[in-house]
Amino acid sequence: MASVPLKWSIKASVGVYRVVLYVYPPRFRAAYGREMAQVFRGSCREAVARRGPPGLLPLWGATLRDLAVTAAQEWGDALGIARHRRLRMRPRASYPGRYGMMRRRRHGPFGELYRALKRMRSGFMSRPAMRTLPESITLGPGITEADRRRTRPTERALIFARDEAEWHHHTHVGTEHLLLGLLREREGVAAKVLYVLGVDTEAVRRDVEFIIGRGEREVVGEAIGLTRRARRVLELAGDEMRAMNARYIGTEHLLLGMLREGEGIAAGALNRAGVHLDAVRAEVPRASGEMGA
Amino acid sequence: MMDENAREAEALLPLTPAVFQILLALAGGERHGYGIMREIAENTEGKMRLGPGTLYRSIKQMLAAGLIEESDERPDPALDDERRRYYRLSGFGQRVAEAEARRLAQLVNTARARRLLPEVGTAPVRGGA
Repeated sequence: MASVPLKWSIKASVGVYRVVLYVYPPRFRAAYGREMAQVFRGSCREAVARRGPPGLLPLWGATLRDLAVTAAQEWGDALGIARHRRLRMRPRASYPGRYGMMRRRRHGPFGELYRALKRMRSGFMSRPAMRTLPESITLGPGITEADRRRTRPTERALIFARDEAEWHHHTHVGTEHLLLGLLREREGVAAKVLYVLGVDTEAVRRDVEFIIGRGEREVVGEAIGLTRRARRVLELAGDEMRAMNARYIGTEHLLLGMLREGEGIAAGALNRAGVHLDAVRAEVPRASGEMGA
Repeated sequence: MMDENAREAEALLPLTPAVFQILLALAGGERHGYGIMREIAENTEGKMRLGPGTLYRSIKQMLAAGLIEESDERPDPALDDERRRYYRLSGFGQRVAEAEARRLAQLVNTARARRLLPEVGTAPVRGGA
């Protein structure tokens, strides 16, 4: 009878596995050890039925690897070692990094002073996100201080976009990050247009974040580039600027660029929120007029 | 507008492959641990085999997060007369699984729009012409 050695090999394997289970923390073993042994027995039977006792070897290999990894993780939990556990509720994003702080400061009691300081530093253009801007949207000659002022929300939106890519652990700034950055910038014409159109910017943000998810690993020290679509959005924004005979690139041009690009995540999310090209085009002159030239 | 439940469900995304597969396996009805493992192996054509450690570590976390519930303990007549603990999807788990499926569908749509996948209903293009 062949079934006697087969049975014996399964019994022995499960017996050994029961002993090996002692590498798990006691509470985990007490809660799930018996069930884990049942599962292992099931796998053993399957393996032996398919390939006889030698089938147990690869099964043991896989099981021991699994055991080493998960036992280490369980001990980490048991000893309270903080680790990134995906299933734990992620706290609602309070936007980290320098710019959250900057926003608070800008409106705080020292806001005016802080603005002046920032203007003096004028480090915006040297930051990587800005260096990747195509030439089509850099400012031409003859620009006034008013023009320059109106580019500032755009610069901030772009820096926010880079922050967003970083925060989501993505290696590139895509249209989705451009949109998230634009939504965080509340002073530009785009913010005004979205407000007038009655767009729930938080809902748009949730929609985008829901689609893009968050990467596993933090992206540290890597150059964050632009995706092809994001570059296209910036080009179209420059196009919008020229079409309107504006000498500055405002957030409204960025918004129009996203809508014209039409295929990226940004355009999709905006369309779902009921933001369409024509409506934005119609609102821009009034909104930018109110902002003062 | 999104209600509180939906937001809570989405706070868990993206799910790990193991967690999502377990949710998928339990979406077909309650199962015991070995049943979940078999179901996953079948659903993935044997490409994904969870070891007992990964399986129960995920189950532990999913119980804690309220995605699944313990059902009763009873033998599986198809296997042997051993008593086995059964698990089933909770209402919240169902919503989380749906939310993750929607998220993945969105990604697939995007991939399709960027020509990484053939359009629905057309054969994959091979060679020229």
